[in-house]
Amino acid sequence: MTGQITATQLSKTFRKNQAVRGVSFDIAPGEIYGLIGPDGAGKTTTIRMLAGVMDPTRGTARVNGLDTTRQAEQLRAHVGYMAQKFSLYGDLSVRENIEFYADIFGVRGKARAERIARLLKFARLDQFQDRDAGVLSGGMKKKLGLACAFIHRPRVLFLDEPTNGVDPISRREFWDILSDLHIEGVTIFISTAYLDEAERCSRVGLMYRGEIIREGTPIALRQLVQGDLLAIITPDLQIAENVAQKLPGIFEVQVYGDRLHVFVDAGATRAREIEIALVAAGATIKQIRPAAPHLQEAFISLISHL
Amino acid sequence: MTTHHLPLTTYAPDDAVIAENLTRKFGKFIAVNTISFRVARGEIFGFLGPNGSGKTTTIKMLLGLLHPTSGAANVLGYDVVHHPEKIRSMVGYVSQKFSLYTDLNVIENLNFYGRAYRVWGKQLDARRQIAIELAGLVGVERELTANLAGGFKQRLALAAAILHEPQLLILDEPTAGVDPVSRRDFWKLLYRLAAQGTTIFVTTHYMDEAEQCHRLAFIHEGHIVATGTPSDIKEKQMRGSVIEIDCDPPGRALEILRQIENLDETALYGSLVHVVARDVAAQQPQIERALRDAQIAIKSIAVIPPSLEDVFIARAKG
Amino acid sequence: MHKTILNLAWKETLQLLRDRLLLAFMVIIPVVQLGLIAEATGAGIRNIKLAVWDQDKSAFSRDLVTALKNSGDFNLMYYAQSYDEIRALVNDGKVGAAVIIPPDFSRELARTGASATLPVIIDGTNSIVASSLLGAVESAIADLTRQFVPANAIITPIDLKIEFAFNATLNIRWSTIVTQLGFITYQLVLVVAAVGFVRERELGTLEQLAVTPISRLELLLGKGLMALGIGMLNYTLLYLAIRYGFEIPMRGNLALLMALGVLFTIAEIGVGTLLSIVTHSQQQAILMVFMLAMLEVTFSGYLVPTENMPWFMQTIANFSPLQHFSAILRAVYIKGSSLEMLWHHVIPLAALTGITVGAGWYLFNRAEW
Repeated sequence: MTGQITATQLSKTFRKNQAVRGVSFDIAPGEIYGLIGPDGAGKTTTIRMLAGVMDPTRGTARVNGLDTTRQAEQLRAHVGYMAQKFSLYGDLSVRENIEFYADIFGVRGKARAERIARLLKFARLDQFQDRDAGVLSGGMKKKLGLACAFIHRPRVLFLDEPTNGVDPISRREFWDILSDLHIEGVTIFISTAYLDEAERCSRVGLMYRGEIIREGTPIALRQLVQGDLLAIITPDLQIAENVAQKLPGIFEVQVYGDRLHVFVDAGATRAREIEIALVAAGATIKQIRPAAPHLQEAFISLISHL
Repeated sequence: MTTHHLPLTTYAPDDAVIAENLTRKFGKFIAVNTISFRVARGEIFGFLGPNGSGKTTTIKMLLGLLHPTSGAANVLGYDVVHHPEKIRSMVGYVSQKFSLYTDLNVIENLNFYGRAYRVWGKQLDARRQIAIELAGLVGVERELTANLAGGFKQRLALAAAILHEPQLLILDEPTAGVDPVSRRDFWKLLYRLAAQGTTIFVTTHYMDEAEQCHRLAFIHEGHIVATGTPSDIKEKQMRGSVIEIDCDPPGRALEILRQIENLDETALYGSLVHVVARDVAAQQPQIERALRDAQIAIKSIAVIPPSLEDVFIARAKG
Repeated sequence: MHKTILNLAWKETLQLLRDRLLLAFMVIIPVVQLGLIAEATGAGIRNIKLAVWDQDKSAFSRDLVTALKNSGDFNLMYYAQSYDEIRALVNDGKVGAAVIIPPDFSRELARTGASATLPVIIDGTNSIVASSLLGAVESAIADLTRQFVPANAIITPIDLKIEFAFNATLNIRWSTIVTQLGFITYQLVLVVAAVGFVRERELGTLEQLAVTPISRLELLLGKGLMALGIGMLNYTLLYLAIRYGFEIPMRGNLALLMALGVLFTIAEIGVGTLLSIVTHSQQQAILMVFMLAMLEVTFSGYLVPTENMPWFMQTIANFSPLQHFSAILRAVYIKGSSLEMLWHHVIPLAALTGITVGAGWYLFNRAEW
């Protein structure tokens, strides 16, 4: 394997609980790899093992060519890690927080001031550098966390649910910063519960109950959904939902605002059948058309068929 | 009790919530700036916006916890300033912060909140049972709330808020930090409640949840900048068009595109680049030319329908 | 309304039963504290109020009185004319000690050389005063006697016949232990009441309560009821421990002891509620309780009798519910004082209760949820 991040059969057992069950990765330099999955799937444990913060029970991992267990010390200089419960010093200013991490990572001399200035600009925090970190908004705190994790210019960044609880506009800004890092060639390994964010990754791994159940580009994953998705726009949602659920060849019916999403085994034939049944039940149909499933639906459909 | 005359210009009994020119200032800071909206009875109404945009302040005014600086709001036929106690007995509220007692178990929490809403005895037992089943809490009734997983906690908070059979449920980011599968279950629950006639007023940061609302309002810096059904917002309210470009290498393409003036947004989506252009006819050729000059191969370039997020970001930028 | 209040109180009780730390605070710490502090004594008493009944009226007796006055330990308040008068002064707490100089005291002293009897009455309810006075009287008389006998003679101390007014055996643990009854109840009630609202605010549940039909009054009463229940339970248990465990006889009226205990507990609930409203975190609230407790213990006469403090501290002490209640406890429990004898402490305590509860209610109504 020649990847920036490689792992073979990585496992972690806590007492009797097998949190991670033999996961393997081969992530190329410069990729943004997204790890998605429900709570308790093992995402955090996986990231901590890859970042060299926790030793695996079994299996090995190499990051930047360094073994994450035996060469964990050397690895520190080459990876940045932003933990989920990453916390800043609320009584220090933005700049002081970054300076603190610069000291920890031994960033000294002439490079230091220049790098801090650049990082502040990069994280779009330069106007707020004298503000106490404690009074920053959620989105700004995350950006500061990212800046601190990147102070030593690592080639690999591990980010554990960095955008949790952050509003869409701040999330988009955070991802724009990640894109900038990506362009500079930094390899990013990120976990998230926002499936729309997974669409911004180069590759995505779906993690469930300690295993990677699917892996691929966002586009490829969306196509993994069993059968076809039909969108039915109708004012009589309640009737439509009840009727559609009982028809043959239907996997799942979801109410979506002003429309119904129906997963079927074969789009063309089932569309016709549904239309007939709905009309017979007295529902008005404004439109019935095939739709592209979101990653969200792909994900839920995948794990409900396990 | 004398009937209070609404200061509102119009009031229809079909409305669960009416806000007219609602404003709240904190010192010089205007948290909510003359916003007006209506929520019809039985509707799932999504109230969206970034942190600090005025969502929670608005909710607090609707619940009578904060008084408006000016303007008026009416909830279920009662003015929020004059009859907050009438409103409270008909409204269920799930706050942003998990607000149940972690040192009490599921049943104890439900009993306490049920009684707080003046539901007693056999009626409480019956409704508690219904709520437990509805919220999928069967089997964890005696579990301490502190030990419940995130998704369970959210559903318990919802169960506690529906014991008095409220006509309106106000949910402030009820699914923050909850995983996709639990969020989906939570929304199925909201749909069941809506089907029973409960009006739902919900805030969220998840766009897939916003898509599930009947109607949306997007608030930014105290102003409502977009409102309508999700389809309506996506189809009619986008400023500019989203152009999706499949090219190689996308990172290099992004750098080139950022040099072009008048492009509202440039963002990387895996191997794709999204840009927002105000004038597609003029700007698309300009984009293609720039990429070609940089020797970047374009596999495909097309205008795609905007996502809700695209619209909100475009509207927020004014 | 009462159902809502009971619902709140029940919820609080369930939470309390789950809180092992607070339970330990209620049960273990008081017992340890009782045991430890029971052994402790103080020193450095000055300005004890003194009454003298001089039947001798000789030059020597005058010198003795002057010596006592000048010793700095005593504040001669009354020059009594009868035994009844002396008893009344001690009983009413007007003085902490009384010295009775018998007729022929100086003549007897001169005749025998050293063994005249000098009855001294000491308000034994305050053991610190008692032991201190004993020492002071002994040293004053020893100094005086030296002037009567040749310098090289062997000095035999005067045989002091000491009469302890109430605390017959001068068991110096008694008054300290009885004072603990008030002090431990004070700590517990203050902590429970002080975290009451701020904990819910921290949790986010206060906002949730705000949107229920529960009124502010019901909320305050529900929380107050539970704090009162815990406080009185603790108070009763401590009383039983003192009465039967430490075997200190109770001389007063039990109903009066309990009723005034309720009054005091309500006053402290008021103080705690105030703290809970003005603070922003439990940590802050507990810190405030700690600081307040240090102040009040100082002013309460627990370490140093209030009457020995400078006038400004005595003035401040009047605003301490704990100071009044400590005095009440000692008076009722050990002296068997009746309500009529205690108005000068009960009225201020009742007034303070009204002020703290009123202020708590006022602020709670104005506080944002």
